[in-house]
Amino acid sequence: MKIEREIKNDHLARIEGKAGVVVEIGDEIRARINVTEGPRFFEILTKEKNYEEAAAICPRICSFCSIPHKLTPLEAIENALDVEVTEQTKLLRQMLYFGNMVESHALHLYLFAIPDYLGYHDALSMAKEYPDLMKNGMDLKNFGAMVQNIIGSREIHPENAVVGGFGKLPEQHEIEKIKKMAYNVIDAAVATVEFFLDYEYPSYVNLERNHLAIKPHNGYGVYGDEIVASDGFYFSVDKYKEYIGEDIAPYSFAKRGKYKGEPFMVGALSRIVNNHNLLEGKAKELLNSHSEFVKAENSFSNNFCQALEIVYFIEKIAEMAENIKIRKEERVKPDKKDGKGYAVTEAPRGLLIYEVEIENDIIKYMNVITPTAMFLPMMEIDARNMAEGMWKNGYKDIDLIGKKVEMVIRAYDPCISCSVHVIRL
Amino acid sequence: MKYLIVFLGSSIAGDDAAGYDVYMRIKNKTKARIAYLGTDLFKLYGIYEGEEKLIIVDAVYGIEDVIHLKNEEIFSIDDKSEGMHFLSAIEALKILKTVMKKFPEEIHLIGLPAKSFEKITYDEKVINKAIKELKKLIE
Repeated sequence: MKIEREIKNDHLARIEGKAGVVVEIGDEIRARINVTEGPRFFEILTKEKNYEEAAAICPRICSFCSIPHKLTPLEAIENALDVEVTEQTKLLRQMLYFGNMVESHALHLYLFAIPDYLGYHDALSMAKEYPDLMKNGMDLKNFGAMVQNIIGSREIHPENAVVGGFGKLPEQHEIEKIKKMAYNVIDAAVATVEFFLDYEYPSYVNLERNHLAIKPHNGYGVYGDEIVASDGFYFSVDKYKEYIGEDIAPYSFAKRGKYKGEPFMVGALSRIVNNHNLLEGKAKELLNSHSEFVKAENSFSNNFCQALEIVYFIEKIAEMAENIKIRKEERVKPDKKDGKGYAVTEAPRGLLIYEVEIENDIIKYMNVITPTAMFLPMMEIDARNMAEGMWKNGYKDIDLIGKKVEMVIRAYDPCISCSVHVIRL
Repeated sequence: MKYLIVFLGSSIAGDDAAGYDVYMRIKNKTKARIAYLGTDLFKLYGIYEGEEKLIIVDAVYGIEDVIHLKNEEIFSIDDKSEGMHFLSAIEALKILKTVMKKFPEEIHLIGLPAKSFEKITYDEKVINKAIKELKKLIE
């Protein structure tokens, strides 16, 4: 193909990790997202380690998603060793996970995505003009961080959640603090949803697609054993390799997910598409009032759905904090020393799958599939369609097209660092 | 004058651990209010209690020796976050200044020279020098 024009950005700003994008414009338009971040080898790092140690290594995959990368391998290990944790542990883990969702979504929306919507090239420029808006973001982010700090027990890579329970339980007065603060920040969460009501999604990226999400155990939760697709199909996580394939591209260190051989989407939009009937409270009210903003065919809708989820998770944290009465309990110790286990949870960016094989307490095999690896091919298609739509509709300003392509990518909230994995060496 | 000392850095990312190292050395040896914030200065938003003086201790790339910067010297640095994994402390500070009702009157940055995310290249002397700078500010 003769290339007439090229958009080349070696380092995409305001995403997690290192990736670039190239759009070639000629007889046809092609786009590729170059993941240049080096492979992380976490599956190999955990091999031949005791499962407790492996569970402590996994969260190092990501400083911001360290909770999902802690709680998901824990679940896989517990499934492998037939450990049934207590109801209190389940509740506290959910609160911890929801806190991570709130912080991650708030940080992504306010620091990285919303500046795009308002036409600013960075969060600081936006904050100077919209300090109250940015304050909402800080209130929400701070709340999510505080929940993780109290239940996870430290500022970075929390270690408190362990196989069979928790190392140290939070005090009741700390749970009270979470509850009180949740009620204080709910208005900021609602305002985040309302922010997006002033914007229309660019139609160039409209495309039918499959959305995959968890079939939650409880309500609109993050834990489950089954994966549901928007085509109506669902499957148990232990069958994930039959339906979710991964291939490689020569220009990318990240694996690239396919569902039944086709690109697909995961994340907040996919969760809402598949599980919207499970929402409750204000999030449900907001969805019912503004359902036109949930567009399964348009990835920009992901940001609106992230905002909706912030509302939901804060209300749920408040509800759980209202009901939980912390009682002392010991960790559940496994009787088994061998087994194979799977776990799937909903990380902020979408499905996160862990598979482990344990022999005599030692990890023999681990496989991790991250959400960004799953949606990369779909993100690439949307990036191309954005460029193509603009070009064919008369936009010839390459810089402007480049900015809009970046905006598409940011709408997905990709975490490139987590996506770079290998299964075997 | 009340002060708050915050330490930044990841304990598992080579020289980025410098701030954390200083925190570990002094955490039980000072009566000052101190906090380790991981890699995220935005967490200041949740812990700030109206102190007039804020001291930030962090690894800084591109310097050869321990530095001490104050107020405008800090705000004049042009630095932006690359993503959630590389949040700029300087950008965070500037954003926080626009949104926090109360903000410290005096801000100090004690920077420790950093060269690598892969391995630790700083030595004991650097840590001791940073602690000495810190003591000068709080005594």
